[in-house]
Amino acid sequence: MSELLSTALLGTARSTPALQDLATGQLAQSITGDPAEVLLGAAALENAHRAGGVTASLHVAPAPAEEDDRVQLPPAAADHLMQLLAAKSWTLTEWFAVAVERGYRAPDHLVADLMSAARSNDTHRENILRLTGPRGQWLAAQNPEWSMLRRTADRLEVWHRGSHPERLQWLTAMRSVNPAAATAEVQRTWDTERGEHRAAFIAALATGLGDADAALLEHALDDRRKDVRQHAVQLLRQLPRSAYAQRMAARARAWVRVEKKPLRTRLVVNMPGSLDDSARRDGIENVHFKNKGIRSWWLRMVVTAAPLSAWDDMIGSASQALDIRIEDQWRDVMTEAWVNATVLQRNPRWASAFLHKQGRQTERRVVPLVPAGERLEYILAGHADSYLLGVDGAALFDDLPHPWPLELAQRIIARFEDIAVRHASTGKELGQLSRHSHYSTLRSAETHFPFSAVPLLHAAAERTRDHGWQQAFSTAAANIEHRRTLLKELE
Amino acid sequence: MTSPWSEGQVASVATDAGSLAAARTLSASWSDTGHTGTALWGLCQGSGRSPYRTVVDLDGPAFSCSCPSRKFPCKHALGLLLLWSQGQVPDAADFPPFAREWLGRRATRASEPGPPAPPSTAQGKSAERRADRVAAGLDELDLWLTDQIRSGLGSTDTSPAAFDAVAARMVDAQAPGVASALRRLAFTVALRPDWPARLLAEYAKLHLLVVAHRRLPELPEPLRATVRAHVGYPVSTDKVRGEPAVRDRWMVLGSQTTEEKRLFTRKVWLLGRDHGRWALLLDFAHGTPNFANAVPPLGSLVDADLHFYPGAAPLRAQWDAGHGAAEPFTTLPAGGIDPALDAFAHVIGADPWVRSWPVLLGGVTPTVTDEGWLLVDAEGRALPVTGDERNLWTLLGISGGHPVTVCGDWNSEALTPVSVFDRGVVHSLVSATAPSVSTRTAGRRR
Repeated sequence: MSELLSTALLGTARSTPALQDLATGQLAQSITGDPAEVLLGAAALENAHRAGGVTASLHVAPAPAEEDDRVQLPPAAADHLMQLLAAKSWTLTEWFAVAVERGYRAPDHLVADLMSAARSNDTHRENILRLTGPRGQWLAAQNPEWSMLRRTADRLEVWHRGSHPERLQWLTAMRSVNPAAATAEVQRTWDTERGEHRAAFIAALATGLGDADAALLEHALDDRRKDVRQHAVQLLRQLPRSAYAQRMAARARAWVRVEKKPLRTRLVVNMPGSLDDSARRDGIENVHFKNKGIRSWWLRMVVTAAPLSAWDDMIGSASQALDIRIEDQWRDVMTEAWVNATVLQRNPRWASAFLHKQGRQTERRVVPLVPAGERLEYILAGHADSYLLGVDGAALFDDLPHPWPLELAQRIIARFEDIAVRHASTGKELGQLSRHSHYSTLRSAETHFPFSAVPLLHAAAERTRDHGWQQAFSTAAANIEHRRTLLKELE
Repeated sequence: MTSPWSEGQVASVATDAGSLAAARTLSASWSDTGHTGTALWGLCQGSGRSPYRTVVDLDGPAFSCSCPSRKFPCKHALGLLLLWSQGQVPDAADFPPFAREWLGRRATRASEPGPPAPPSTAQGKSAERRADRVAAGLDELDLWLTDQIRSGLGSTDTSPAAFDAVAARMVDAQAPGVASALRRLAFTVALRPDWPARLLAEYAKLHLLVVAHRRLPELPEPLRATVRAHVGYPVSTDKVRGEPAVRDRWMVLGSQTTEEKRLFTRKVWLLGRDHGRWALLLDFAHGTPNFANAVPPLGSLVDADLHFYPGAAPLRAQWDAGHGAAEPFTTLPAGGIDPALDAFAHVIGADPWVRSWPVLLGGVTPTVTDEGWLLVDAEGRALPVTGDERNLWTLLGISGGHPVTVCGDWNSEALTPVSVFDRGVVHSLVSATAPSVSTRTAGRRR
């Protein structure tokens, strides 16, 4: 055949094919015509002969996947899962909680699609992998694109010998499972790592960050590279029990003091003229800060990083601190830094103090830190009525126990109805009154309302005169019903 | 009155999971819904001022909606079906005007007889004219082919434009089968590292077709039909109907709908349970995938008569009549690698132009290696596998390293899986609406 091909490439004008070596050579010799026709005829014969004469090759099949004796997802639930994933449904969190609790496994024909979904879905990746179980792991072991989905303990060789992206992947995965072991590995090789890799490794410690990481972070403050030092500072600010935090507390005490006079307790700020080396090591920098001056920036850095407990010692409770008089020049900087500290240190007491003092003006990152029970009480007491449905209110719902209590559903529906009434009377679909501005609240309602809220929504739909709102209530009710169906399928 | 579909049935007509999920969110948006006989309709309020008018003909099924969606069926049609499956569509005595118009058009089209056959003398004359034109065209093609070989494949023009020019001549010569074979060559040259060998093989096949066409009167009737089919002569429905009916219990082993330039093609793979014969149903629809003929779903078996298109290795067939309702099958008589290769050898012997032939391999384990995909039997004998990566991973996931039964198309180089049978269930390995091969390769070239 290669004989025919080389003649064909060269052209029969310059070369003649040898037919006798072909499997069909004898037949081919009976073909008449000019050399080109003979060649084409012979090739046709030879091709047919080859196509019909293909035989199997030999190969050893690999070891099969481990057995998974969990019960397979009911077919309807499996079908719905793919739809929910495609639609990025908010119901998935609840769905997975039930499916995992019941110990289901995914049907085999969906495992490959689920693995693809797990690759791009950060939120539900681990749940998907739990569902696909050993079959998914077996599949992932054969597809290099799915190596990030492998969850085996014996992959330390990746850390020792892998490429940088592989090592980073290992580190991030390991941080979410066993942060201490991961830090120990980083510590072991730290001094031999390349600078840009060290920066990435430090940043990876953000996952599963804890007091045990303080020593390594402290070490990183002396790094030659600025990005390594910056990442370390960012993480250290989240560890109020670290030596770093204590140094910041000492600076705070040196720069800020409480002046107690009868009837006139106030916070007095007394900034130094320059920074010493140790302050610069701790990441306090000269930055021009919104025309407020370099010293404002230093103060902000220090108060943000000092443990909030330092203020408890100096002033008293968090709410007392928020009430204290501060010179105009420093007031905003102090408040802003306290907000930052509350968020970084995830301090629930300070978060409550902010919420009760500032109401809807409370920084949105702070509100979810208020314990769920307290937030719920706050809402049910009517303190949040005026902003419950707006963007400001959304943070109040963060991580409330699921499903929400019926009273909360009642309160939200009542607020929706108020708006629907105003809407029907003005007939305008603008600004505050627009249904679409309440989209996220409606979404949360569909996801978190108890099933017992369905009749309330239907009743609201019947009372409402505005067509759009009628539909919004019915849709929410229908979606909650659908959620009920989805969860029933898992039984 | 038809009883409402189950949710599963509704899901089975959806093109993707996303549109089904979208359809669910519509349940509160419907008004003026109704159901009569085999039709459903309703108005669905979207974001615009006037609601979308949605109609479903359950016979078929076929869908119509005034929304601009290119998905078919759109989320509104699916939403309407879901609503119906939940028993929320009331029975009605008559259709509203918007539904009547479309349903009426469908009914007329179905009952309309095909275009009347021209009187036989005129038909004979035009057939003669066509035969002359084809013969002249093929002679011209042969001159081109031999020229290519004479001057050498290494130095001839293998640009897409060159193949398109010859293909256009073949369209003029009323040999569309040859034209599309020529157009495919441009992709072969662009995409395959072994293109000179492929090109020689394809040129050889075309030359063989020309030679066979010249000797058409001498050929036995089945082979004559095969040659005519590959050249691209049309075969009338009546002629196919005239072929003796083949009755068997036909198992539906695969179904695929592809779209190219709004022409939808549905391919259904059938295997006769009693006689082990393969049949392929091909249906076409313009604009929307509303096919005139209904076929039983994947994984079901139906006792039916088929008429095969005439040829030396008949495969394509037309559905005639069923002798009873379709029922699911849960076992499958599957052969091994050797019988499948033997069968293919016989097919090639009868029809050397055939591109692929269906095979059913039992007890094979899908395997992925550094060199590619394989199906390995219990003795460790392997055949190469090709196809869409996503479907191949699904196949591997279903088997999990255990033997399964695979149905696919074998083309002497590799098997393209169509479906897999595992623990009594047939899973499709071709997407419901996949882009056809040529559009996909065209996309990659850009």
